[in-house]
Parts: sequence; structure tokens; C-alpha cells
Amino acid sequence: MKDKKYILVIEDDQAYGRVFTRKLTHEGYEVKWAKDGEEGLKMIDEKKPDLAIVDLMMPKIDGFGVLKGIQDRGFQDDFKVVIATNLSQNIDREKADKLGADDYFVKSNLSIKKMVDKVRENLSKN
Amino acid sequence: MFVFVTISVWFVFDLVRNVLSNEVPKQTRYLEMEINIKEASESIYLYDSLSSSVAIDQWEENISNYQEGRDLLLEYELTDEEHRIVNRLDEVKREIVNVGQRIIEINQQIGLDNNGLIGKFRNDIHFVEDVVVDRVDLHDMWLQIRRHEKDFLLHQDKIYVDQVEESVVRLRQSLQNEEARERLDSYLQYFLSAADLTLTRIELQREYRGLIAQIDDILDDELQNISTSEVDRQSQWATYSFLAIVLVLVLSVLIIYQAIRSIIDRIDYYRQVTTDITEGDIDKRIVVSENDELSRLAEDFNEMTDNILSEQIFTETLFESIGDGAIVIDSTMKIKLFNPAAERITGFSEDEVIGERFDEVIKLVHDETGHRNDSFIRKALLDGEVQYMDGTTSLVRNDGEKIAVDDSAAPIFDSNGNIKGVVIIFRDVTEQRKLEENKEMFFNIASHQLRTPLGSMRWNLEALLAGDEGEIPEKMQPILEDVKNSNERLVKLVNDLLDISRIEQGRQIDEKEVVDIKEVIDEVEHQMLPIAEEKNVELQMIIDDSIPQLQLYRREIRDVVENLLSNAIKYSGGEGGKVTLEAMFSGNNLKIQVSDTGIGIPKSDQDQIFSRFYRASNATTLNVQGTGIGLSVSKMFVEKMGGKMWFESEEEEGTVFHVVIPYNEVAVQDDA
Repeated sequence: MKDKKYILVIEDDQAYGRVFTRKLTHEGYEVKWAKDGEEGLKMIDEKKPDLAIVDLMMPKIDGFGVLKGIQDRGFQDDFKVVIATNLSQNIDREKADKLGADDYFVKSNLSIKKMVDKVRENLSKN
Repeated sequence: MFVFVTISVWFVFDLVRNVLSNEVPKQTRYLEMEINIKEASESIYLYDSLSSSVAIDQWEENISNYQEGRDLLLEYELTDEEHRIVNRLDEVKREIVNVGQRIIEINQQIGLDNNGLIGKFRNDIHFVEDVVVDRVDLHDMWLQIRRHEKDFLLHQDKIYVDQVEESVVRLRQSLQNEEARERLDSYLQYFLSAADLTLTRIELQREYRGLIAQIDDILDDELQNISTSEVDRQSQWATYSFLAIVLVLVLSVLIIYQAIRSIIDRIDYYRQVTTDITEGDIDKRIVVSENDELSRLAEDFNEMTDNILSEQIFTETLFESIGDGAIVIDSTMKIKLFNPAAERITGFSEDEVIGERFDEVIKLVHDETGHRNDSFIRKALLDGEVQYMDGTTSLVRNDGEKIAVDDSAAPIFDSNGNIKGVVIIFRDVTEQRKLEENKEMFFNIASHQLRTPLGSMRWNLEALLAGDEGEIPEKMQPILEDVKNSNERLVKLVNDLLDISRIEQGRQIDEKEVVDIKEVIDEVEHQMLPIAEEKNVELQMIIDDSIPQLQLYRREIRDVVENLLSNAIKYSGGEGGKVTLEAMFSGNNLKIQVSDTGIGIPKSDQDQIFSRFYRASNATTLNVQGTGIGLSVSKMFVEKMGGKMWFESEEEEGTVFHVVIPYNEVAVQDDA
């Protein structure tokens, strides 16, 4: 039996955090939820996930900070990092890309189903 | 000078008068006299063969003409020498007349008519002829006499006279007839007289000839002299008149030269004033003293200069007063004008920058990269069109400080339509930029803040409806569906609002990417199918294979297609109906057409359809939700891609929406 993939959701919005967790758990993943960037990096240090879903706008350390933190730790090749935000400026997308994000999507533009597809897609990437 | 002119003119006129007058020169008179004398002599000589009266008349006429000519000659002014000559001519002519008359007399005496000797002895001849005709020997002798007679008449030699005389004596001796003898004597008498006269005439003729020759000689000599003196006189006249003409010409030239000189001097003066004014002495004017056309020109010039200067002053003042920084550069990029506002903004003073190359003094850079951002100025200079700089430009002051500026560069044309320079207007928009940034930030944050609850709401609903938490009771389903729909609409609304604000700020939303239209349309179709099915609307997609790949804003074009299809389905008028989407590439354009058989758009609403928040009056009848934003945003998107969107509609029949995007606007660039 395959091991459940571990997804770390770093998201400061309560509702999003809960719906991510619920849905992805429902889809069969192991899901943990960090409420801000700082907590997120701490949890990464504890255990590297298979996929991290990171929001951009967060207090303390924001999504970019997390990306940078992952780079600093040299973890960028160890797991996939996906930026899930409600900001949609190109500049943010580029910046995320430069900082090593593997994907980027705007949450409110996707249906939940699509979100799940993206997750699956990124998990199966090499 | 005037007197000279008058005298010279008189000289010329006199000569002309002489030349043109009918007065015959002296020369001609002499010639005429010569001719007449010669003709006179001819007639004397011809006398023998002409009838006497004709010859005499001719001779008299010639003599008379000669006399006439001589009299006319005296009307000329003759020198003493000439008078002497005329007197000589007169003497000779008297002799000629004398001799001539004697010749004529003799001719008359000899004459062939009955009064003449020759006429007279004709009777005697006839008588003797008749007598001797019968006797051959006598007849022969008589014939001999007659032969000698003829010989004499022919040759006019005395020998023949003697021969005649001898022959007559001999014949006389042979004649018996007394009367014949008398007649013969008579004949001889007449003959001898005639012969004598003839011989005399010969002498006289000789004399006559001599006299004629004399006249000839005198006239010849005289003619020569006259010719020479005439020539002298005429050449004298010619010289005088030539000199006179030359004099007149020279004087005229001098007068004209003077006049021209004075005009040129005045013009030079005017030019000097013009030069002075051009070089900076702007108050200089032409001093007008005369009162002619030139001085009127001068006055007009002065007035014009005044006008120009006052206009120039006005224009300068105008330029100085402009509230924004204004710089004028010429076609070589050198700064010509620099107003106070420009000084204030850039920190440079006018004196520092005038004459300098623009790009060496004024640095316009990109806000973030710091690279030069002034190509729009060059573009204005080259293209001849007003250029606006983009909103990311800053100006570097002389102290190094960067100020956000908004600019335009407008070409300046001269009267021939050539580009002479560029006027650049710029304004410190630091405050504005900040405001814009704030606005943008506000929008970003606002939309983010709005999207977050909406987004999670959507997922929650979707999760619920997907049955994640168990099957939803049937009664709850529609309620949840409605909630989900409302949520969707809100999400879209927030997106649209954000897009609108971004477009209006001129900010780029997304990047263009290479898009396969077919793919996009398929995606949207897939999305729309369930909704169409629900409303029992037939969806038909006709997509041409020849559509090339295009550089488009994927999200935007997708939104447009979704918007149009969604509207078509929505407004299909209750149950049933057909929606057709046609996509093709023709005439170098991407064309998308969405037609429906729905309720159509009333004419009264058609103008407003693309305005934000507008919903046609008949939309509510369908109980269809719509924010009314979609079309205005779609149109904006299409136009941003360089295309056009419009529609045709008939109430109760349906609507067709057209989207046309030119290929060259969205052509895929080959970056090799």
C-alpha cells in the first residue's frame, strides 16, 4: 500500500485552511495546516512534505518569505511548492517563479475540483 | 544735360529728315543731264533712219530735259567752281544746239520727202528711167549712175560723187532727147547739192560728237567730284549723327545708372537694417525719408517687424507662463527653449541648458531599471506624431534626485510640413504616482480581501455539492446551487472590477502567450455544455482549421468567449433555441461570431449595451442573472488586443456578436 502523500498547507485564512484540509483529506492525502509563514517553515523543518501549498499574503513571514526560507534550507528540490493566492499580478507570479515555486494559481479562479487536479498534477511531477 | 540731349536729338532728326526727304541729291541731277545729252545725240544719229519730225521732236525733248536738269541744279547750293562748270556746260550746250540745229536743217534739206532734195529729184529720175528703159546700153549707163548714187548714200565718200558726175556726162552725150538731157542735168544738180549737204552734215556730225564728248567729260569729272564731296558731306553727317546717338546713349545710360544706383543704395540700406534686426538689434527700424514705392515698402517692413516682435513677445511670455515644464528642442536635439517650470522641476537654469544636447542634460529614466526612457522623444522627431511617455518614467534632477514625471513629446512643423523640432511637456507627478500606487494597492488588497471569503465559500459549496460530507437532501440541493451561483457571480464581479480598474490605469494585467484558439473555445464549450443542456439550448461550434496560433491574453480571450456564449445561452428566450459559435481566420483577421435565436436586444437599448452595468430592458423578463459588466469588460479586452467587437440584433429574433482581431496585432513573433 502506498504511503499517503503529506501536503502542508500554509494559509492564514481560516476558511481556506479548513476547506483545503477537508477536501484534500477527503481525497486521501495527509494534510497539515500552518497558519502563517513562520509556523510553516517550522513545520517544514520538522518534516518535509511532499507538497506545500503556500498562500502569499500572510503575516509574519509571507509566501515569498517561505519560498526564500525553503531555498535557504536547500529544500527546493526535495518537494514541490505551489503558490495558491488570491493576488493575480504578473509580478507576483514572476517573483514566485524566480524564488523556485513550482506552480502558481489564483484560488478564487479555480473550482475546487480544478484545485485538486492541480495538486495531483504537481505531486506527480518529477 | 538737357540742352545736350535736345541738340543731339535735333542733329539726329535732321539727318533722318535728309535721308527720308524727296530731295534728289545733286548727283542725280548731273546724271540726268548726262543721260539727256546722250539721248539727244542718239536721236541726231538716228535721224537718218527715223522720220525727221519724230527724231527732231525727240532731240528737242532731250535738249529741253537737259536744260531742265541744269536749271534744277542751280537750285542747289553750288560752289564757285561748280558755277564755273555750269557756265562751261552752258557754252557747250549752246554749241550743241547750234550744230544740232544745222544738222537738222541739212537733214530737212536733204530729206526724203517731196520737200527734200532727194525727194525733189525723184521726178527727174522717173523721167529719165522711162526714156532709157527701152535702150539697153543707155539703161545700163543709167543703172550705173544710180549705183554710184547709192554707193555715195551708203558710204558718203566724195569719190562716188565724181563717179556720178562722170557717168552723168557720158549718158548725157548719148541721150538724144532734149528733155531727158535737161532732166538728167536737173538730177545731177540736185544730187550734187544733196551730196554737198551730206558731206557738210558729216562734218557737222563730227563736230556734234566732239561737243557731246566735251559735255560728257565735264559731267564725268564733275560727278566724280560731287560723289566725293557728297560722300564727304554725308560721311560728315553720318559722323555727326553717330556721335550724337552715342552721346544720347551714354547720357541715358548715365541717367539710368544713377537712378538704379540710388535704388540699390536704398535697398542695401534696408538689407542692413534687416540684418541688424536679425542679429539682435530688435528695435532698429528703417528711417523713411522719401515718398515713393520704396519708402512705402520700408514703412510696411517696419510695421511688419513691429507686429512680428509683439507676437514673438506674446509667444515667449506664453511659453514662460506654462505651468508644466516645457522644453523645445530642434531637429539636432539641441535645447532651444526652456521655461521656468522646467527650471524648477529639473533644477537646471535656462542658461545652463540652452544650446546643449537634450539627452546630455535631461535624463529621463525608467523608474525601476534606471535605463534611459526617452526614445519617445526621438520617435516624435522621426514619426511626426505626438508621443506620450509611459507611466514608468522618472526625471533625474541636476542634484541626482529622481522625480516621477509624465510627459508628452509633440513634433513642431514648419510651413512646409517638415519637422523642425519637438516640444516636450512634463510634469512632476510624484504625488499622482503615489496616489496611483495607493489606488492600485488598494485595489489589490480590496480584491484580495474580497476574493478570499468568496473563494473559500465557493470551494465549500462545491465540496458540499460534490457530496464530500454526505449526500445532500434533495430539497437542499437547489438552495445550495443558488448560493453557489450567487457566489460565482460575485467572484466574477470582483475579477471584472479589478480588471476594469487595471485597464483604466493602463497597467498590464497579464502577459500574452501563444494561444490555440480552438483549445480555448473547446474549454469554454465544455464549461457551457451543462448550462446549455439545462436550458435546452443547442450549442454548435464551427471552428476553422486554418486559424494560426496567436499571441493573446489567454485569460481575457477566454473570458470574452465565455461571456459571449454565456450571454447567448442565457438570453436564448426560455426553452429551446440555438447558439452558434463560428471561429475563422480570414482577411488576415481572427473572426469570432456568436449568434443566438434569443430575445434579441431592443433598438432603444442597443447604444448602451457595452456600457458598464447596463442591462437591456428585456433582460429581466427572463429572470436571468447578470451583472451587466461582462460585455463592457469583454469589449475592453478585445480592444486591448487591437480588435473590434460589435453586434447585430433584432428583438424576438436573435443576436449576433462579432469579434474581429487583426492578425498583425496578435501574430506570433518568431524569436529564433
